[in-house]
Amino acid sequence: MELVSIKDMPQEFKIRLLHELGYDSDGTFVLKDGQQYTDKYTGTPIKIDNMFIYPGSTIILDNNSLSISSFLEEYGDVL
Amino acid sequence: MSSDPEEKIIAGMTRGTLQYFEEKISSLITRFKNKDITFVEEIETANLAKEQRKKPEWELFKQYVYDYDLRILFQLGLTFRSLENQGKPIDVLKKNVKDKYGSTGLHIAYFVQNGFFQRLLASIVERERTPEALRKEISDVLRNIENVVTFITGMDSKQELELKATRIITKINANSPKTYIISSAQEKGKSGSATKKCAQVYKMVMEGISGYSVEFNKTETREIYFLNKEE
Repeated sequence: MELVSIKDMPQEFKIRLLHELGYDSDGTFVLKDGQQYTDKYTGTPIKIDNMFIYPGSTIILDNNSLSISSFLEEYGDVL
Repeated sequence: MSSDPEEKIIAGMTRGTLQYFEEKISSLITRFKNKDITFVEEIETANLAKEQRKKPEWELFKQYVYDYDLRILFQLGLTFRSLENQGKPIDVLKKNVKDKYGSTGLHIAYFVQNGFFQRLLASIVERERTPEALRKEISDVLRNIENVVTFITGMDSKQELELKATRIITKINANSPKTYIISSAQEKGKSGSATKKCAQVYKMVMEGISGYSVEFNKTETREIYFLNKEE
């Protein structure tokens, strides 16, 4: 699985990507059904400028070591 | 519409650039939907997590511990070590670990960061007869980390050293752990002070307990005393 950095991509791209996946953004946070969407491992709201988005059933996480290690432990070495 | 040739060129270039990005975005989204790519803000963070799962220590640990949270904390302890070795800040990650797993979780990560796992394994392999007993002992040590590990720092005063020694004696006499670890904390440029104080605490502890033998480990930056309960 190739990792593609969205660090330097324009915010419009990130928002469009979120729309394609059924999510939204208020410009700062990722939204789902109008509510801030939280990282399943840390419980913190996910910022649009620090996302980790895995395809398939679409998993959006905050891009931090704890969340990604937890993700790899849960789903295996899929990256 | 502008009749200025230069404006026409700029407008044409802008349309071209927009079209280029539009095509690039569409292509990336198609690849994502085909499950070819994962989007990440910082590739480095994902690579760091992946690297820890390839380390020999992890390969060893995962054979013995099946607990989901302990496995994550182990990987994060290795991540602490990698970041520290690279001279990168670990405060935010420490906070994340503490927020989710509390002080105990943080201490488990420190335990791994400081390379205690292999030493612990070497110490208990000698006395545990079966893989099941080995697994249980490793998990017990990690789950009861607060009762089986004490770090001595170069900043500890004489009074604090005596207090730590008293607490260790109390814990050992109350719980009879199979292993108790007294370690000098790694402090850049101050390891000499911490190791001397660690030796003092070890001596005080040994005067207050019985039925334990010691296994001593020394590295460039720290000293570790494994107090092993005699059978």
